[in-house]
Parts: sequence; C-alpha cells; structure tokens
Amino acid sequence: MRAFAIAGVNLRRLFRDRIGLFFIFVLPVVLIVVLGAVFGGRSAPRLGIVVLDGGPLAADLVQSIRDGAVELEIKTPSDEARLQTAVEDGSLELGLVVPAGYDAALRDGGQAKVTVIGPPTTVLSALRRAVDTAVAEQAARVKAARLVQAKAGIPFEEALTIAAGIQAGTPVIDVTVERLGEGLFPEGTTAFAPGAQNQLVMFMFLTSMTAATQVILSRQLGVSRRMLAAPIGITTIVVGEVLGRFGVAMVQGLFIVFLSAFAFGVPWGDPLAAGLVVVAFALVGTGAAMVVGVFANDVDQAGALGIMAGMLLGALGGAMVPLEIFPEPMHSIAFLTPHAWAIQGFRTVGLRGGGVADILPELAMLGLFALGLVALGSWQFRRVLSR
Amino acid sequence: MRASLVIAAKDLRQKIGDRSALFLAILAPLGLAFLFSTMIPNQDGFHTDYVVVDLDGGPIAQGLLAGPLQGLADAKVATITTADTEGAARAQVDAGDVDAAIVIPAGFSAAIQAGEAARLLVIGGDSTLSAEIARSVLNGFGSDVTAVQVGVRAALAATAATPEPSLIARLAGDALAISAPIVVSADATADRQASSKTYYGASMAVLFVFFAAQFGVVGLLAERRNGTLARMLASPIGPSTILFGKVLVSLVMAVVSMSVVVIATTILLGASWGDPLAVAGLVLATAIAATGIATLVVGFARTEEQAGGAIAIVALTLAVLGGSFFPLSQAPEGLAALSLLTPHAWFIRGVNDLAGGGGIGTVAGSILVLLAVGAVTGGVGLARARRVVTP
Repeated sequence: MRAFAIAGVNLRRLFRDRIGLFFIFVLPVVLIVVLGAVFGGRSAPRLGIVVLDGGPLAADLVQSIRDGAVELEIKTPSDEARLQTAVEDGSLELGLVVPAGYDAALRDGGQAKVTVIGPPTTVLSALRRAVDTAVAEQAARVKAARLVQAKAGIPFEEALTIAAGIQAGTPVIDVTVERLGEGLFPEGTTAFAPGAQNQLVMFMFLTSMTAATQVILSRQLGVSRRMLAAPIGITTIVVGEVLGRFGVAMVQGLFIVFLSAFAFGVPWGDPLAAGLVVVAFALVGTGAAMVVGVFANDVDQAGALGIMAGMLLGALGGAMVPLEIFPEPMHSIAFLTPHAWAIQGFRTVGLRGGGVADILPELAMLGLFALGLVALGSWQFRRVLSR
Repeated sequence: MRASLVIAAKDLRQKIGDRSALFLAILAPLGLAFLFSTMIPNQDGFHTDYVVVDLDGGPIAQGLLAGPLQGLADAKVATITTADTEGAARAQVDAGDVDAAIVIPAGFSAAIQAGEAARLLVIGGDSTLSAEIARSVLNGFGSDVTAVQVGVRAALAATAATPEPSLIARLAGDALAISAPIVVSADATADRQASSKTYYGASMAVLFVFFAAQFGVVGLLAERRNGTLARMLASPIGPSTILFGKVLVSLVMAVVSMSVVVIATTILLGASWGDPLAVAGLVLATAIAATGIATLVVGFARTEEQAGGAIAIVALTLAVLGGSFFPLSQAPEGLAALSLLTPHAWFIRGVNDLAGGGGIGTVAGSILVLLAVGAVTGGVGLARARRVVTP
C-alpha cells in the first residue's frame, strides 16, 4: 500500500512539470500528425506534365499516361520553369513537356518531340517507361493512320479514326499482373497507423528515460533517505519507485493509444493483445529508467544520456523510420532492441488482426528485456539506498 | 572585450570535460546521422531485379529480351536474370530475391505472328512500382510489335482491297518504312537534392545545434543561482561583458557541434556537402540563428531547467516542421510552406542547393534568412537577458 503512495508521488511530480507535459502530450501528437500527412498523403511517384499544345493528340497522349500501368500522381505546373524547379528540388520525380505544335507535326506527317526532364539518376529511366509506353501506343496509331492516308488518299483525321478503330480491335499482348507480396503494409492501412505505433514506442521509452532524472532527484534531495528513516521497508521503497516509473510509462502509452484511436482512427486490434504489448513495453521502459537513474551521476548527465539513448535506440529499433524498409543487416540488428519487438507486436495485432497467440515471441522477448532491466535497476537501487 | 574572452574560455574549458555537452552536441547527431544513412535504403536511384522465364523461345520473345528488357538493363534500371520454369521464378519472387518475374508463355511468338491474342505474365512481389514498370514496358513492346499489323489492317479496311498475300507483304513493307512519328528526348536537370547521406547529416546537425547552443547562455541562469554572477558583477566587469562572453560560448559550441558533424559525415559516411566556403557560411549563419533563439528563450526563463526544457521544445517542434525528420520535397504543399518559418528548412535548403555545385552565391538567400533570424531573436533575447545580469 505504501508502495502505491510512493508511486503516486512520482506521478504527481510528473504532472506538475509543465515542460515535461509538452513532451508527453503535445510532441507525440504533432509527430503523428506531421508524419501521417507526409507519408500517408502520397504513395505514387509524382509526374509533372506541361502541355503547351491545345490539340487533341496532345490531350490523347496525356490521357494515355494517366491510364497507364504505372500509377502516377499527375501534377500540372503552369509553365516549364516551374516544372523545372519542382523537378530539381525533388517535389516532382519526373517532368514531361509536350511542346506547342505537337498536334500539327503529327498531322502534317512530320516528327513531334516530347521532352522528359528529371535529375540525372536512374529514377528518370525507370519512370520514363510510363511516358515511353504512352508514346509507343500513340505512335503505332499515327503510323497506321499515315499508311492509310497514303494508300486510301483520305485526310489524316479520317485515317486516324480508322486506325484507332482497328487498333482497338487488334489483339494486343495482354499483360496480366499477379501479386505475391502484400506490399509494405497490408491493404487499407490507415496513413496514421504505422506512425502512431512507432511514436507510441518511441515516446513510451523517451518519457521513461526522462523520468529517470527523478530517481536521481529523489536521491539528491534526500527524499529516499528520509523515506528510509520512516518505518518503511527498503523493499517497499524499491517497489514504489519501480511502480512510479511504470505508471509514467503507462500514462504515456495509453494517452497515445486512445488519442490516436479516437482522433485519427488508428486501429489497435485485439484489446487484450495490444494491452499486453503496451504493458510489456512499459515494463521495459521502467527497467531502463531505473538503470539510468542509479548509474548516472547527476541530473544533467542522466537527462542528456536519456534523450540520446532514447533517440538512438528508437532510430535503431525502427521507431523513427519504419522497420519495413530497413535493409539487411540493419533489419536483424534492429531486433537487438526492445523497440523492434514491440513495433512488430503492434503491427501484427493492429494491422493484421493478430491475437495473443500470434505475438507470443514478441511478448516473451519484451518480458525478458523487462525482467533483466528491472532486476538490474532495483538491485542497484537497493544497494544505493542501503549505503 | 578581453574579459568576455576570458569568461568564454573558462566556460569552454569546462564544457570539454562535460559529458552532457558531449552527448547532445556531438554523439547524438553523429549517431543518428550514421544510423539513418545505414538504415534507410539508398534512395538516390531506383533499381529493381527481374527474373525472366522464356518458355517460348520464338523470334518475338527473343526480340523482347534483346530489345526493351536489355534496354532496362543498359539503363541500369534493372538487373535481369533468367529462370527455367515459372515455379522457380515464382519461388524467387516469394523469397524476395527478385522484385518481379516476367513469364513469356509457350506459343507467344506463334500467336502474335498468326494475329491472335498473346499473353504475358508479370508476377510482382512487395514492390508495387517494380511490377508496374515491368507491365508498362511490356505494354509498350506490345504497341510496337502490333504497329505494323494495325497499319496493314487499317489500310486494307480503308481501301476495301482483297487481302491477298502479296498486297499484305507490300503494305507491311510500307508500314515498316514509316519513320517514328514521335521521339522522346531526355533533358537532365541540375540536381538540387543532396544525397541521402548528406541530408541525414544536415538534418541531424541542425536539430542538435540548438542543444549545443544552449550551453553558454543557459549558464547565465546557473551562475545567478550559484551566486557567482553577483560576485562577477561586483568586480569591475560590466553586465554586457558577461553577457557577451556567454553568447560567445553558445556560438562556439554551436559551430563546433555542426562542424564536427559535417567533417565526420564526410570522412566516415562519404557525405558530399559541396563547396567548403559555402558550407562554412551556412554553418556559421545557422549557429548564429540557434544562438539567437537560445538567448531569446533564456531571456524569458526563470530557471535553467525551465530554459533547457523550453529550448528542447522549441528545437524539436521547429525540427519536426522544418524537415529534419523527413525530406520536405515529400511533404504536402501546406507543410512545405509552413516549414519556411524554421531555420531548419533554410539550412537544409542551402545544403540541397549546394548539391548541384555552386559556391557561396548559391546559398546567399539561405544565409541571409538565417542571419536575420539570429539578429531578430538574438536582439530581443539580449535586451531581455540584460535583466538577468543587471544587479
């Protein structure tokens, strides 16, 4: 019972620190919103098209690119200079210019030229296949129309209509696409979901680490010593401090879970399974905070070390950049951190509808991390106290 | 002036042994830049792996292999390997060894030559874009091989002639003789995007420079609490001298932190920052902006904890909005516009501008904005901070 009182003091101290409140309640939300807007808003490469010709053949080419196999987000900058700038600074992957006179050149039997512009990297060559394909299709039609025009002596316009009709009726090569993979995330994943899962793990750990400074403060201010002087067993004090750290981590975790679920519609899946991962990871944060709290010498040092370790482990464990895009060996290395296990657990439960049975390995690993860290931290804390 | 330098030198000597300063000003930005550039696959170029199964072996299948598919390989867009059976190719896609498989079924060439429907199969893996590009290339090839057929049929239909073999052969010859009506020319633009290694170095340098810049000016509040400030003021040193000394410490810490990141990422990660003078200008201007903002915060804070926390809040919020955690080129337009309110965006923009070559003139705009930020925030901050040092 007294242990809960000690834990309660820890929590009250947390809520009095206005700057700390920003990190717990504001920054994670800002990150979820911004990252969701950046990575959720777009999936396809961006192609900018500037059409300087008003003719139907130019419009036809653009439509053919829109309908093509490569899914593209088509932007239409107002002029060539803007297109050029956007491609240079990377806000467009590729640009296409259909020059004035395009339509007339094709009608008069001349040669029309379109220009793709892009940075001198291979993305240019890969994405320009989308343009090349549309061009090949229209070129085949124009060639046929020119043949008809020469042979039948009819105007180009009429010849083109005949050619288009024949082209539509000619069996072309039918390309079937079959998919084996499920993509980076399952179909229908909310834009905010992976980000919310990552930020949950990132901030539960970071908040625990910053709360580590309070362990030191308790020692420095002599609170721990005075508690020892009271008729409270040393075990009760240790349990109380551990519970305090755990409470802080849980407050952070549950806040992000509920806020993201209600405000952004992030699915967390089976409540029991998701809850177990949150609790297990909160215990890991608790242990890490105890360890830093007893081994660091002063508040400044623990604060700096905590922020650094929290960010580095978060980055390494896939809480900043999604684990899914890590190449080997970084993907394997990531699983040396508890973060990667927690994120994998949340993905399975929240995005793939997994239950407790599907995340047993993740729970076991998090349990091991938590046990090791809490044991080391509280054993050392007991030693510091009884000195 | 001399007194300011003495104060600054004393503080800086202390910082050398201070582990907090080492963590936040040097180790954290370097560690994160290193992690990001090894964790994130190289996005500087798109590359994909295809496996091709040719179950047909006919002339048109050969044409596909030697034409457009070889073209992809020549352009270094794709690495193309072959497999003997569809099952083997499928297994490779499933295992993630290749991004997509292209299967040319038996009878493909014969079907096209007979004017019948022919089929090609693309088996895609996790990368949607790889499968889409394969499909697009095959569609383009389809238009090419059927172009002559379409021409002959259209000419026959328009002239209502009897499709005799000799006429068909002549029309086909004429169709082949028609030159390409449309050409696609490529125009490479200047590259104003830093490589991903440079980008991560730059974004972490500008994120942590704020933590580095806090060490001098925040010390002012600590000295006041410890009572050392009062003792300094009792000596014949003016408040401005003390203030100037502390600001100098912040500035030096900021410059050192960023310079170490620039130099270390160049040597260890192979980042290419561009013209050294221009980079030095950007670093100095950013350090001035960070020092200005740190001074502003100190001007309004009561205790050093409060100042440290507030600087962390300002630094992280500006970093999130300013593109330290993702390239702004990927951001929606509204956010990209908002980011221009942050020093982060201007520093990163300057580094990106240098990627295409060019010297200090190229980044003059960024430097001016950063200096203006430093002047305005620093000016207000100094005016407020005098209150801290005034006895």
